[in-house]
Amino acid sequence: MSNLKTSLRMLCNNQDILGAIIITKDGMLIEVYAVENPLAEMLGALMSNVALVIKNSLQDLGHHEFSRYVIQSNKGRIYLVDLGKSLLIALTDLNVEPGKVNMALFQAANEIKKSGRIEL
Amino acid sequence: MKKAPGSEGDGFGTAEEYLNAAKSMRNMGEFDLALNVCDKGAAKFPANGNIQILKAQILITKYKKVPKPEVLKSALTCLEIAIKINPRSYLAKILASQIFLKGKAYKRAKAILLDVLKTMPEDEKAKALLAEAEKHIPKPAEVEKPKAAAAPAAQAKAAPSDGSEVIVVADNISDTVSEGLKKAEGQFEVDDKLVIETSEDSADEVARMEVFADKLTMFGRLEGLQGIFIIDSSGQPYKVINKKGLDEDRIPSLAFNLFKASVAGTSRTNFGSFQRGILVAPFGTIIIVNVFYATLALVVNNDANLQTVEARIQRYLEEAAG
Repeated sequence: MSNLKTSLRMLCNNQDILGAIIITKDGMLIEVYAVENPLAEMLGALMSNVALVIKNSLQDLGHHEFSRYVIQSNKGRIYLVDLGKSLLIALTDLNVEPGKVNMALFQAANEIKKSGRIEL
Repeated sequence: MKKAPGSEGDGFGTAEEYLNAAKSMRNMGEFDLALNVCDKGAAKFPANGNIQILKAQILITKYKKVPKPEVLKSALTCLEIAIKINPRSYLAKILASQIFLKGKAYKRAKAILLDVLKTMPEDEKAKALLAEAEKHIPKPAEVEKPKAAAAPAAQAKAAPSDGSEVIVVADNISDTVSEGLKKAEGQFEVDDKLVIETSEDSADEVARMEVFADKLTMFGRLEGLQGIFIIDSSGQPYKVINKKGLDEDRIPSLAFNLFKASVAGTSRTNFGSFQRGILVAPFGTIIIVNVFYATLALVVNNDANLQTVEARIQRYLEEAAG
């Protein structure tokens, strides 16, 4: 099992996190855990677009990175974390402890960034 | 005592005051006065793209009553400035593309719309306008092939026989608008059937936005608050409370574009209806709230208590949106 898969599995061991995906900046799936297709591919495409909007807009404001973006709907939350050369997406229910999720994502992001395979 | 808006030393202190005064005059049909207020505002706040966009909207409305092509050209000039100030402005790009469509510059309209769709692939309006532009652009097979196989670059610069031109989507979309303006300096032929849509504020919308704006006072003492923006359905800031000198063009654009991309994301993935977007950026946390017919964007310090912020948003929604 790859390091990335292990990182995602550990992240999803957190009971608040339903599934997680790592994608390239242009939306290609790198690794998926507990998210079925075609949802994973659709999320990859849409969240890479969201990341592009953020990145372009922040650049205009003189910044080059963001920590995270959370979309909350009436069904749950989609977390988007900037890993530098890739993006981490995680899905949660609505009634979760944001602090715990943020901590788990922060740890997973650090683990993933350490992985050499992410240098695309 | 404040002097009449647009008069010498009109006493307006903020760009928002100029915008509101110009909108009121436009809604009363006093286009020249409204344009005068915009000019004064633009002179005082040259880095504010929203004044240019409003001026372009007023000119487009004026064109509908007095259809002189130079009025549309002036509107395009304003939009060129607005896009230079804020290259992410959705409304400026949509309006510019509509003027190009009206002026039969279909390839330029297409270039701008492709730029909009690059970041908002689900935008219905941009897709519809692109389809309209493409209807008039001959498909590659329909274009007569040049007899001699000349160098491709030289061919690309030569104008095709239909009088249109080859457009390369520029990295900087304001260049596309600027070049289109230069091209339009001669004859500006217009398509009489095509109507440019502008978001005129209906009485209902004005009343609704006023309620949203009035209720913002409940965020007044929120700890860590940097600014609040009420953004209308076309992406323009309606009310701004700016405590930390935030960029009043780019922050609302960021919030509006992100709102649209997030709404598309949740609906396409059957993830329910969008409620909040929370962006943790280096300068602060932006909270984007869907307030029906408008978007609320709050910018707070990264160490602000988000639970307190959320409680305040809930109260705001109950009181302002019912």
